[in-house]
Amino acid sequence: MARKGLSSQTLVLIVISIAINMIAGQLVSMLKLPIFLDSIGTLLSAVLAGPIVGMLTGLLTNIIWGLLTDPIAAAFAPVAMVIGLVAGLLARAGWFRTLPKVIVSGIVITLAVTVIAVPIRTYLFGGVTGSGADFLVAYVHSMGNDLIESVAMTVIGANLVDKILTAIIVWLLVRNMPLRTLRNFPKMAAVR
Amino acid sequence: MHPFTSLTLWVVLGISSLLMPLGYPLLAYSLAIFLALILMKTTRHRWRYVVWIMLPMAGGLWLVHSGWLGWWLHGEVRDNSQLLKAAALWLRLLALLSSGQILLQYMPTQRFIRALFASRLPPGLSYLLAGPLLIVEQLRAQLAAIYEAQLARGVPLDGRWYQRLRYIPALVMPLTHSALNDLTARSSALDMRAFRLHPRRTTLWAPPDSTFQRGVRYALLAVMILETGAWLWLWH
Repeated sequence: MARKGLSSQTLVLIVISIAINMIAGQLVSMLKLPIFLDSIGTLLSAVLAGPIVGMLTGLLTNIIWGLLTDPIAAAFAPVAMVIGLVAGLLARAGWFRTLPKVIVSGIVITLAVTVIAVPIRTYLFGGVTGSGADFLVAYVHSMGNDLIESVAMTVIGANLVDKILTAIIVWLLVRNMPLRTLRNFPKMAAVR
Repeated sequence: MHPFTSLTLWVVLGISSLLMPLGYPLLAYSLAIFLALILMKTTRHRWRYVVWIMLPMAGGLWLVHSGWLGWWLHGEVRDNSQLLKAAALWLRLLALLSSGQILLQYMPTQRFIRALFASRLPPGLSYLLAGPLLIVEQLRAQLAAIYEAQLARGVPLDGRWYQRLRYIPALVMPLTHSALNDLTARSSALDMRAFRLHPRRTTLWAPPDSTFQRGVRYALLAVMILETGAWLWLWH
C-alpha cells in the first residue's frame, strides 16, 4: 500500500537513533570523559535520512527524556531539533565528505546550538544547569559580562569539543558502514 | 490510574508551579509536593534523585545570582536583586521534579508503552514514542557486552584520557552497526504485520481506562487553559 510520510524503515531508523542518544549516559560513564555524546543518534539519522528526520530524532529524544527521566530535558528539545536540522543540511551540502569539513560542521553545529540554547538556559533556568559549568558562568558574569554573554561563552566551551567529536564519530560510523546496510538509506548524504 | 491521567495531572501540577508568583503559596506548594514524595512509602526512594539535581542547582543559582564571586574576587558591591527570581525558579523546579518522580512511580514505562499503543494516537507516532523505550535496554546490554569484549581484546578503554578518547569508535561502531543491521528485519516485521494499515488497533493488556478518567483528563485540560488564562489576565 502506497503511503505518504515516513516509511517503516525511517521510523525504525529514528527509533534506533533515539535509543543510541539515550544510552549516552552509560557510554560517557564507561569512558569517564567530560563530554555529552548525546547527539550521536541525531547526527546519524540526519546524515542517513536528511534534516527533517534528524530534527524529529532530536525532538523525540528530549521529549521522551523529559517524560521519563528529567523534565528539564524537555525544555531543551528545540536545541536537539536544531542539531538534527543543521547536521542534515550540512550533510546534504557536502560538509561531511572529508575530515576538515566534518570539523567545520561540528563548529557550525555548536554555533547553532549556542543560538538556541542560550536564551533557554538564561531565561528559563537563570543561566544555571546545576553542573560544574555554573562556576564558569558565575566567573565570566563576575568579570562584568552580562548573563547572556556569560552563558554563551560557557555553552560554546562545553559544546565545541563534544559536537566536533560527535560529528567525527558519526562520519567514521557512516564511512565504515557495510554497503548492505547503506543500501537501506537512498537519501543518505555523501561522506566521501 | 490510567498513564495518560497521571501524565495530565503532572502537567497541571507543573503548569501551576510555573505560573505561581514567588510568595508563601509557591513555597508551600513546592515543599508540599516534595514532602509528599518523601512521605509516600512507594515514592520515598526517589527523593535522592530530586536532591541530587536540586542541590547543585541551588548552588549554581546562588553562585551566579548572589554576586558573591564578584565581591570575593574584585571586592564589588554585592547585588542581590536577582536572588528572589532565582529562588522562585528553584522552587518551581523542585515542584516540577518532585511531581515528575511521583508520576514515574505510578506510571511505569511498560504501562506507558501499552497505553501509547492502545491510544487513539496514529500508530506511527505511538511507535516513535514507545519504540526507543522497547529497545534501549537491549542496546544498554549490548554496549556493556561490547565494552567487556573490547577490554578483553586489549583495547585501552580504561586507559589514559587520550586513549579512551581515541577508542570511542571501538565502542560505538559495533553497537551502531549491529543496531542498523537489524533495521531491515525490524521494518519488515512492522510491514508484515500491516502496521499503520488501520488507524485503530486492538492491544493486549491495554491499561484499563474509563469514561470517568477520560472526563477527568478533559477537566484537567480545562484547568490548564483556565490557569494560563488567569495568569495572563492578572499578571500581564
